[in-house]
Amino acid sequence: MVSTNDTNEGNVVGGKELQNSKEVEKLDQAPDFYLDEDDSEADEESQNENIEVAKIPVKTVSLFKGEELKVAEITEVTYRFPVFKIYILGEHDSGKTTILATLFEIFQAAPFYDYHYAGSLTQIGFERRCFYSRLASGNDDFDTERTKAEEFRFLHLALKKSYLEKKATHLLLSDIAGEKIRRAKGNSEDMKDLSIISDSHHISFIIDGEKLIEIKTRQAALTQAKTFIRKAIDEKIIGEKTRLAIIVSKWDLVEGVEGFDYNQLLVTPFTRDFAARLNELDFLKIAARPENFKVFKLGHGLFDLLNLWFKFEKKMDDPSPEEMSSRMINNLIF
Amino acid sequence: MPEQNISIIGLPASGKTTYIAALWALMINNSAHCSLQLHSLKEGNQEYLNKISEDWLSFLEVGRTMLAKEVGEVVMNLKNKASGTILTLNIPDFYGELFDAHFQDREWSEEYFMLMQNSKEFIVFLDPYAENNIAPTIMDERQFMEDFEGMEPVLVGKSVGRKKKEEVGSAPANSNLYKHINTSNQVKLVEILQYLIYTLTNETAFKIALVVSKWDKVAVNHKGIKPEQLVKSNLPLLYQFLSCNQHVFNVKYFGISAQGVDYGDKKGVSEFANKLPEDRVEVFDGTILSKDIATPITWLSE
Repeated sequence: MVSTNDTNEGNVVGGKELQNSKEVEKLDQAPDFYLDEDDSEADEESQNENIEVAKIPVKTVSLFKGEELKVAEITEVTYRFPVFKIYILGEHDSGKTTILATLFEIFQAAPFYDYHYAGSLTQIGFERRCFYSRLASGNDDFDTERTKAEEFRFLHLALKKSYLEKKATHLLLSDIAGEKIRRAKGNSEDMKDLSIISDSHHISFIIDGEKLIEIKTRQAALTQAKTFIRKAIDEKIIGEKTRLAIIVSKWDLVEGVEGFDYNQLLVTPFTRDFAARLNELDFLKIAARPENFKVFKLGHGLFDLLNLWFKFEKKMDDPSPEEMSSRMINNLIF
Repeated sequence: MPEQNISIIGLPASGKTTYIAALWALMINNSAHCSLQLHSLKEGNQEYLNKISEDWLSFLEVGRTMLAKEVGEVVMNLKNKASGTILTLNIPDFYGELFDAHFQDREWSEEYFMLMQNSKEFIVFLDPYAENNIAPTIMDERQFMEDFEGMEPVLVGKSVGRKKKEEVGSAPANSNLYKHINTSNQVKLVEILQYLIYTLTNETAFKIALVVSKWDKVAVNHKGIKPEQLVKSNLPLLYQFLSCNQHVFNVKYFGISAQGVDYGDKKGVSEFANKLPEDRVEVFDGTILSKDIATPITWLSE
C-alpha cells in the first residue's frame, strides 16, 4: 500500500529529485510500506503566508510496527509465511501473558533446548509483555498489564529446531482478555466472538494453579474450565479437529499441596468428558516464572508446550501465490 | 568496474566513530598494512572525518564535537589495492541515534531508504561491554532479590544498574510505562536487520561484517575467544537470529581494536605513541590477527 500525495510537481522526495521514473515505479511496487507525507509542516506553512520559500515536505518510508497484531493485521505475516495459529485462553490472571513474556526472555538468554530464535515481526509486542511482567514481579503491589484486549491479539514468533533446518516454523500466538473467556462460557454471543479459534493449530487452555491450592476455590476453578470447554464444543467453536491442552499454571505453588490429586481432579474427568469430542487432549504443568529457582527452573513446562505447538500433523502449505509478495524474503529461507 | 556501496550500522557508542577515525587517518596516510586506499577526495565534506582522525592520532577521545545534523551523512571513496574495485563507504549516522530513532519511530527517511536500497553490504558494530546488550530477565530479578535482601532492582533507565532500596525512593510517575529505552541492544539489532529484509528488495543475501569493538579488552579478558563465540555468548538472541537466517545474511564476525590503548593508561599511551599509527590497530577475523583495519570492508567487497 502506497500513498503518494505529492503536492509538488515532479517527483521530489526528501528534498531530492528522483533520478528517473523507474525509481518511482520501484517505490510504488513495494507492497507493504507507506510513503507518508509529513502534513504537519505543510499545514504550518499554509497558515503562515509570510514564508516565501516553502519547505519541501519530508517523505518517509514506514517500517513494520513491531507491535502485536489485530486479526485484520495478521496478513502481514500470513501472506509471507505458512503459520500455525496458537490460541492461549484462560481466565483473568491465569498466566497467559507470563507464558509469552517468559518465552521471549528465554530466547534472549539462549536457545531453548533445540529451539532457536529466527525472528519476529512483533518484537515490540513481546517487549511490552516482558517489561510489564518484570514490573509486576519486582513489585507485589503493581497491577500487571494483563491481557486487556477483548479481541484476539497476535504475536509472531519464528523458530528453528536447528540452524541447518531448511525453513523456520512460524507461530502466531494469540491471547485475549480473561474477562472475555469468563463471559463466553455463559453467553453464546461472546462465545461466537471466539469463532476464529476454530482454525487453530493448537489451543492452550490455562487454569490458574493458584486457585487450585485452596480447597474452597479449587472446584470452582476446575468447573469454570469444564464449562468453557463444554460450551465451546456445543457451540461448535471447537470440535473433532481441535488439539487442546489443559495447562495448570503456577505449578510450583501447586505441587505438594496436601490432598491435591492431579490425575483424579484433572486428567480423569477432563479425559472422560472431552477426549472423545476432540482430536487431541493433553495435560501440562507449567511454572513459567516460579517463585524461586530452587526446585523449578525458569520456563518449567514451556518446552513441553512448544513441543505441542510444533507437532505437525500435515505439511504446511505455502501461502497461495496471490497472497505472496514479490519481495526477496519470499524467495529465501527465513 | 561497478561501484560498490557499503553502509555502516550501529547503535550509539558501539565503536563506529573510533573505527572510522582510525580508518580515515590510515587512508590519508596510505598505510602499508591496509588492503584499501583512498580513491578520491574530490567530492563530499571531510571536515568531520579530518577532525576525528586528528583526535585519534593525538590519543584524544573521539568525542561529540559536532551536532549530528552538522555532521550529516559522510561518505568515503575507497579503492581495493589488489582488485582495483572502487567502493563507497556510507556512514549515515556517526552517533547511532538514527538507528535508535528508526526503532522508536518505525520509519526511514526517503533518502535513507534509497541509501539502503543501493547497499548490499553492511558493517554492523557492537560494543561487547555495553550494559544493555541483554535485558535482565525475571530470573536475574528474582535471583538478585534472593541474594541481596533489602535491595531491589532498578526498573527504569539502565537495565543492568542496581541501587540500594533507599536510593531508589519513590518510582517516577511514568516508570510503569514501557519505553524503547527498556529494550536491549540485541533486540534492537535484530530489528534493524529485520528492517533490511522486510523493507528492501534484494535478490541476493545481504553481506554483513559484524564487528565487535574493543577487541583488545576482550582478548585480555577472554583468552582464545573468537568474535563469533563472543557474540554467541553475549548477544545470544542476535546470534540465533543470524544463524537461523544464513540464507538471508552472509555473516562474518570480526574483532577490532581501533583505539589500541586505554587513553587513561599514560604508560600505555606513551608506548603506543612511539609506534606508527597503523601499528595501533588490530583486527581478528577468527583465524588471522592482522593490522589491516580495512579487513571487514575488503571482505565485503570480495
